[in-house]
Amino acid sequence: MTALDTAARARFAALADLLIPADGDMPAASAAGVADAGMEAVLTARPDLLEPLHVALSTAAYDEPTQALAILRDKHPAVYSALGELVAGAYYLHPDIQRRMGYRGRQAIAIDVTDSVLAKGDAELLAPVVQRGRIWRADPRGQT
Amino acid sequence: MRKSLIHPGTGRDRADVCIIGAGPAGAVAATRLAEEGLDVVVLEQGDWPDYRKARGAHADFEVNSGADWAWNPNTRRSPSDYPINGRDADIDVVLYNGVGGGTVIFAAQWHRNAPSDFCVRTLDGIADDWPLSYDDLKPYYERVERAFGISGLAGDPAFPAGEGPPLPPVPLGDIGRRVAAAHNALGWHWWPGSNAIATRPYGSLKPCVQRGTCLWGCADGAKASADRTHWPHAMELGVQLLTGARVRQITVNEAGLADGAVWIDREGKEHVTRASVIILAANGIGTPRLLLLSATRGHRNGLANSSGLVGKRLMLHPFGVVTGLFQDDMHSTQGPWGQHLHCLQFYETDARRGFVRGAKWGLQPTGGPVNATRGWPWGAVDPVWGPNFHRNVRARLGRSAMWGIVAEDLPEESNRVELDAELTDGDGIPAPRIRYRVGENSTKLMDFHIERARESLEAAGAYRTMVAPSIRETGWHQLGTAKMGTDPATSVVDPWGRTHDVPNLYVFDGSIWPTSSGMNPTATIAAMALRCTEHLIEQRHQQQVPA
Repeated sequence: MTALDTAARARFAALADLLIPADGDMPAASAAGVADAGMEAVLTARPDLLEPLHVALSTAAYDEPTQALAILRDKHPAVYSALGELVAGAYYLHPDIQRRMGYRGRQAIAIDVTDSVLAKGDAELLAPVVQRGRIWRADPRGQT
Repeated sequence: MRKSLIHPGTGRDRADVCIIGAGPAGAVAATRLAEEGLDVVVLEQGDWPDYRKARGAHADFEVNSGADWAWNPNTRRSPSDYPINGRDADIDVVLYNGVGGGTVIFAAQWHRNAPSDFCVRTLDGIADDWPLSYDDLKPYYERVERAFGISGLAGDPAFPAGEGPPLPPVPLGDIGRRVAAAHNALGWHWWPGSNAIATRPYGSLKPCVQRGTCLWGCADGAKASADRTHWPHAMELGVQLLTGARVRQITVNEAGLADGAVWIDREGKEHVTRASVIILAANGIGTPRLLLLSATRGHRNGLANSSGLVGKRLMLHPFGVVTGLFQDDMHSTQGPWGQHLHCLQFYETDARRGFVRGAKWGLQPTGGPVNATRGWPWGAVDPVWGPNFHRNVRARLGRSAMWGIVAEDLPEESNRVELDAELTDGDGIPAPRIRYRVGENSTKLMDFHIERARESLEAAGAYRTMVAPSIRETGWHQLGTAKMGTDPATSVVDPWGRTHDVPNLYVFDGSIWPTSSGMNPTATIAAMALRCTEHLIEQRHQQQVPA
């Protein structure tokens, strides 16, 4: 657990919603659990993101979220980048978000041997390359 | 009954050959030596890769690809690793210490060097020629391509005719076909990608399932890393592979011959492996580090370093990326990674460009939604966040492709590996310190290629292109730090990898390259290792060994 208190978690949610707001059928970050289970899951796997999170939250403690985010972006780009990694990582872990995106992670897609370079007109694609002839330079010392 | 390399009846107290490093060069050498019945001991500081820890099939892969597969040893920090001081380097060295070496986390793009790569002094008046030609290496390329299980297509007009790889190429994919057609219209070269990725069952390899996780440990068993393609067979042949064995010194006897390797196990206990011949295959950083660590009274500047070139002439292949956005769904969230196709249109020198030599391009997918939010490769000036977030991600996700550009690096003695005065590894052994600056020629070369890659993607229909910001962690290819040549005053090893100074000490890894080419180097590292090994076998009865 990150042991963020309620106020810190709310600050994180506000920052996350600025990064990923709702749009059409896509919910905002906080509505997808980014400040709750999503954040916990990512930080468990990526403890290296915890320190920049604390820096971000301390920066945001005395500023309004939009201003805090601008400060992070302009003055602390590494922290801003890490915050984005945490928020996006948590957001796209949510099953409902994956369903809405139609993205299910890296799937096993067998190579179809009929999709080889000799299929689907690829031989015709290759023909001009072959017709243009060799482009390598010979070794003047001999051979080739 | 085993034959001894030189000394029938020596017994088991001394191996015929001790190889340091279990990457591709060590794998090729050990296998071939064992096929001849020689007694081979291999010392590897790392472990076998544990693919149960590979995370390509996990839902959180993009944000959590796993600490075990981090490319930078300073990040990974496993017991197998040594730290690298890169404060004085423009590029961070990335490598893998373990059985399989760099092939465990390489992108599997597999390229022979071009004929011109062996003679840049003769052709372009720069750097040095290799003391061998493409033709000399060609039969070895063909053999290692069969041994590794390379996929691709024969007939590439960027290379002399000859036998192609044993497996058919990976699919071009939607994006590959689009770029291929564009290059045809431009009159530019392209060819189906050559990869160390199985497209059909082949030996121990399974067919690729196109997850695009090559760089983070292929848990699907399709990538031709040496831990899969060579080491199990080598061990069946009798090779003794010791993991967790960190070599700290090569010892030399009074006759000036290498007579052993001193190594430390994971419990901190010191051991000595005696051998008639010692082969270094510890990569372009580890090999010069060990030679420098092995300085003695008779070799004050490091072992095999009478030329003063050990550690110098480091070449790291500056790497550039250009990404294009397309209106159509190109299904490019995953795929061989690896490369769909490659381009060598601008590989050779054209004096009108204002620089010498060139670069190889490889066309790759761009990954999933988390990757679509990162500064790399999309360009830090193009923030994805805020009111247009979802629109931005959808524009990138599956509707993009990127050219990875491998630039030839010229050898400069100021770019080098040294021993750090303070930093040490977990056993207290001095760590390497890298001094490396990207040269003027490389900068001009990269600028030119980035603009041509933009034109390529625009011709393919990209409505927008972006240049990835420079990132430090691109030093995949460590070359040149124990130069090969015929003159002991200007080189460290001879054309067969034997050090000029110590006649039973060899170097078989990428350290020995006189120039870097602009190709991914594993094919040539493996082919050179095979060529050098067979010469060692042929000459074994003339080989000097310690008494």
